[in-house]
Amino acid sequence: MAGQGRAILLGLAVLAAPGSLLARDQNSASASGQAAASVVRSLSLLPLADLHFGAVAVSGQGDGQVTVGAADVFFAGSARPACGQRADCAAHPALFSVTGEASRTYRITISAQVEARGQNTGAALEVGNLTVDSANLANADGLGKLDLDGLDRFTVGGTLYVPGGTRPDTFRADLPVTIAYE
Amino acid sequence: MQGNHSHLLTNRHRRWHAPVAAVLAVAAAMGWPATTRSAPAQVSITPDRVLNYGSFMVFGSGSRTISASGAVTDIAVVPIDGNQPEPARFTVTYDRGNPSPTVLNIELQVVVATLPTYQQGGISGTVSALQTDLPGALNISPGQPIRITIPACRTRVCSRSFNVGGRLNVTRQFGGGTITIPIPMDVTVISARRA
Repeated sequence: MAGQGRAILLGLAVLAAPGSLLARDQNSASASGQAAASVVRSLSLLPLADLHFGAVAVSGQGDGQVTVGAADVFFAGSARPACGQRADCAAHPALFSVTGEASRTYRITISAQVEARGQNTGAALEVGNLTVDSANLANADGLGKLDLDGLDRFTVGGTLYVPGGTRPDTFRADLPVTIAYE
Repeated sequence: MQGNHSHLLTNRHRRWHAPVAAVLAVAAAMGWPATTRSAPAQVSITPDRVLNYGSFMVFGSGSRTISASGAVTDIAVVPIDGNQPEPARFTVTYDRGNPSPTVLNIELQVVVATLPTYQQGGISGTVSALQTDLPGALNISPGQPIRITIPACRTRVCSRSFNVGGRLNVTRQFGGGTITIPIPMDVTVISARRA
């Protein structure tokens, strides 16, 4: 009878094994997850040149327009250049330098209400049809892109509307510009 | 002589046959033959997903907290579109080593080790205020044991997944970069008992 009991106990001990922790079992383990974040270099904007329409004159009756692009200047209507030989009155677009995170795209936003002021008369004239050209992202409709060094430049051009009878003057515009990562 | 020997063996062990046969029959019914061929039981932990704080700008110092459910709270950081912030996900797995149908209640203990500080260039970052979606362990600290139960495990391999969130404090002096901080985790089997 004692032998039978030992046999049953032995059998039950074996049966208990599935629910028990045995020495051969691997009862612990380790692993490493990860936390990650991309800290983006902040955008920095530096104005290098104003939007300058140069010296402009119009006739007494007809209105005129001066359009400054990234590389060209067009006079329309009765507007004509009045710069002469002066060195500091040539028209040119505004120019900005941008630094930030390499290869990232950013959006350039300019206030819808922009005025140009006459340097001598103080006349305030409407500026419209603003255009933006990024050196690294051409024809991108208000977008710029930073190069591999995190640098870009963009120009802002526009059209100056000059009513007839406006006294000749040199006009430049202050541009409220905001940039933000896309 | 051959016949006597056989007879002697039979006589000597006859009284053992009935109980042993009974035990073996029960064992067979419980999958014991598989147990004899089984591998050692083992536990493992797998990092399924990175604790992703996404992209942001910070001027000076700031923090971003991602809860275990994925809610994002920012202090003095500017979010940037890009990769979506989300909590980490880990899976603990218990492999009993055999296909025995025994129903087990498994109790595991998970411990998060101390997380190192990230420091490179002008960026430094630390992860703290860890949280999980495990009942009873919503807020945890490095070194604090977390109990995980896998009740009524009926298969050879049973597992349970959980999320880990936390707060990332960032200080930026200059430049930018990608912060990576390991989250070391240990798991230990406390018990694997019949249900």
